[in-house]
Amino acid sequence: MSDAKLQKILLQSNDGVTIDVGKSPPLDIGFWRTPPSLYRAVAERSVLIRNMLEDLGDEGIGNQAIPIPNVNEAVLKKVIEWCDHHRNDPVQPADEEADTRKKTTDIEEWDQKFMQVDQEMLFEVILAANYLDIKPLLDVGCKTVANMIKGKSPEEIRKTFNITNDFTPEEEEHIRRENEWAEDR
Amino acid sequence: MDNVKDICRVVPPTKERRQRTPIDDGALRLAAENPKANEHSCALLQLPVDILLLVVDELEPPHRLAFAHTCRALHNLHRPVPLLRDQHLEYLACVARSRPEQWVCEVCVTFHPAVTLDTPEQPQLMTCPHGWLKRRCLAYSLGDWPVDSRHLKIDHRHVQLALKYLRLGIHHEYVQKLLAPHRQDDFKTHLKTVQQRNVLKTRYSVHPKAAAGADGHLRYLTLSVWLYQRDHHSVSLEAMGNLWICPHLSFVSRFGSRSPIAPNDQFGAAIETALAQDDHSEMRGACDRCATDFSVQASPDRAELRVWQDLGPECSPRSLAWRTHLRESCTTYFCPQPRVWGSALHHEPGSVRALYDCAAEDLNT
Repeated sequence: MSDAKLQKILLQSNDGVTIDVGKSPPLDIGFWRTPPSLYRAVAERSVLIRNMLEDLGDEGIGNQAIPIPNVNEAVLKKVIEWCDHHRNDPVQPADEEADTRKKTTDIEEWDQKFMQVDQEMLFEVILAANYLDIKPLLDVGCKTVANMIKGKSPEEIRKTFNITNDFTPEEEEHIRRENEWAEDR
Repeated sequence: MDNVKDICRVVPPTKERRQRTPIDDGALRLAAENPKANEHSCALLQLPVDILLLVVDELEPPHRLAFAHTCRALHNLHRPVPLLRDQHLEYLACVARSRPEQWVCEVCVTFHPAVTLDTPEQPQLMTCPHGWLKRRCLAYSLGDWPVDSRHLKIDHRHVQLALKYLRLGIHHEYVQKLLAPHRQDDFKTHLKTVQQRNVLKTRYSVHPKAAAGADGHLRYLTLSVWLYQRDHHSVSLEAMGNLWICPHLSFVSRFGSRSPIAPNDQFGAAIETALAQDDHSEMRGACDRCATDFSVQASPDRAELRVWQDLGPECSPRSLAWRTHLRESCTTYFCPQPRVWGSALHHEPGSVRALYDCAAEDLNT
């Protein structure tokens, strides 16, 4: 393994905080610390960062922090935590992704716990995953939101997400009639 | 609003990372033009349209429809698809969660008013205008109910209303009726296909209970107990006659039968084993096709069959959690033997019994 591979990767959040991918809190438990050779595997869960590293080359980056202008510190640390846990997952080729994307809303146990956060953080993580191009994290986020909707009545969904019912009574009646069961359909 | 719909349709679903486009921003801005817009109060609606579409893609059509009926912006995102009958029932089951005075009828595929006189002991008082006449619906016309329906007819609407009212904390008296235990002395041991008088004293009782499952949702559970005691004869499998404890498990009397009888399944075998044991220890088992656990304790003087069933959470009348307890789910004209055919819902053996035993008493009092 070359020295370049052992290089640290620094990310800078939009609130100006520099985060060392190998030193974020989830990776710094007791004496254990992620070996430098894994820094890249963690960071490269993001297609955006991977492309950036490839374009700039190791020399190009030096010890500079990569700016992540759309993501704040808390969310960036959360995303790195996810990337670290999934650093050994196989990377799906982009063209196969659409076919193999599971149609169920099943989420593995670790991801379920990871996503047990308030709605604001959940949506921030989804937006960050979209920006950083981390498709599996984006999927987990969307499935988590879908599970919050699944099996609920419209009134319960409104309550869950603080949605205001802005239908007029006429529109509601129209929707009701539109959705009546017709035996001959 | 048509503009918004059109704009949303031209925004392709995101399969790959996408930057927000002016079209996305435009769609959101148009959706937010409504005077009662959600733009400041609802974080969900602040998400880009392509991410909302990804969330929608994860939903089944009935849940998509319920999601679309929350507000104008999400209604405009919705791409309607015709629902199948079972999907429509699933949608109605979702909507019914917020309609305390209505239940979902699988015959009419619509809501009917709930009446507090309609109980498992007096199911004839239900409010469906077609229920007892329309043969189209097997569940109502063939006397197909879970548990021992000779004595108590627990129907899907009873389960749904009991769980809904418990969740909402209303109609306590009616809930008590829907979860009331029932006892029947001297039930007939030999079912109508084999004409044989009882030679044992018998008693049947059922004890319904609501309990929160692992997912936090309430479930309707039952414990049925069939008790056989020595009378003219000592207790034996022949004297006990026959019984189906679920659509898949039974034991069969060999009295009066001229045709060869299939060997007993694991339930019948458990009774035979229990009778052969001297220590009268408990035999346990579970159905591998529906959420049913059982135990058997037997001696020549007394046999007790205990059966725990999970009739499901608040859900559609076509959900597997309910349907696998009905014979119609696994019997066809071509295959009258229901043990190995049809729909199945697997469960961890013993989990229904454990959930029943752990059920908080305060839920049911």
